[in-house]
Amino acid sequence: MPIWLTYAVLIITIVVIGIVILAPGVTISRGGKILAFVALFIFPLIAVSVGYEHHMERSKQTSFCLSCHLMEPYGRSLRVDDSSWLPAQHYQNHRVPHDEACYTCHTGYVMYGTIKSKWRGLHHVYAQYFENPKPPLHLYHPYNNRECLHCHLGARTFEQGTTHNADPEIMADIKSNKMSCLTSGCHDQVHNTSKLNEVKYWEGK
Amino acid sequence: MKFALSQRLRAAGALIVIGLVIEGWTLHWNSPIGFLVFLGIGGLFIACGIIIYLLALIALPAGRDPVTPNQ
Repeated sequence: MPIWLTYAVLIITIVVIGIVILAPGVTISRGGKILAFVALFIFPLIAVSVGYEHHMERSKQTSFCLSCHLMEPYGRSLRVDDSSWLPAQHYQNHRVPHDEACYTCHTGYVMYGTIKSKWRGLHHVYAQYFENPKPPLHLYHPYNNRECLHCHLGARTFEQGTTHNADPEIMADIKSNKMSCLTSGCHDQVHNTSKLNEVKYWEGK
Repeated sequence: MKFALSQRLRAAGALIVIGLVIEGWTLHWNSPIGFLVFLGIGGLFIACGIIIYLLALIALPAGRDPVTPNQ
């Protein structure tokens, strides 16, 4: 939903509430009672819903994730000039949207995956202020191949890749998450924040 | 202390308006704190306003003039 529409809902709600506040006498009539109900119950719920939706959408943005100081090295790792660095390679080659880079890989592509991601995000905020976390950060659960396969499944480079098909069991193990894409020695150069001072950086946009 | 419906409507409306203004303020706040302020402070004001309004509705005796204070 465009932001102007969210503001329009807020302003209309405030104006209607203003009518009820400034002229409460209107609530004597049946129409006035309905107006008050709409102004003080229906419209505020709609306004909160559109505001919530706006915040949820914005929380997918890369800049939102990187607004926490703790995430700064992870943002830097997206600009490493080395194609073996998985997040950098995805970010720089637009395999993930630039403005939703973190969310695209770190959400769960399952039912309620987005809600669970947001819930984890709230826990991150709590942890930021009360648990004093320090990098390197660790995932709550091992990274699931499902998130990689959400995009790569069916892609030619994945399905016909030489290494993926070197043994018939490899492909089956990747698809069933028995063999991790990230920790089985194939694509293990991920954010790697401890080596950020030893690498070159891509200066493109 | 009893309040007329009009006073409760004003209180409810004022709380909701404050909550909506806070919500509008956080819409351009691109950080997790903005979301927390939206939900924790703005949402709290709006929820309180709605509850006061709903309580005012159920607390009003039948047949009573809704806008005359302290009858």
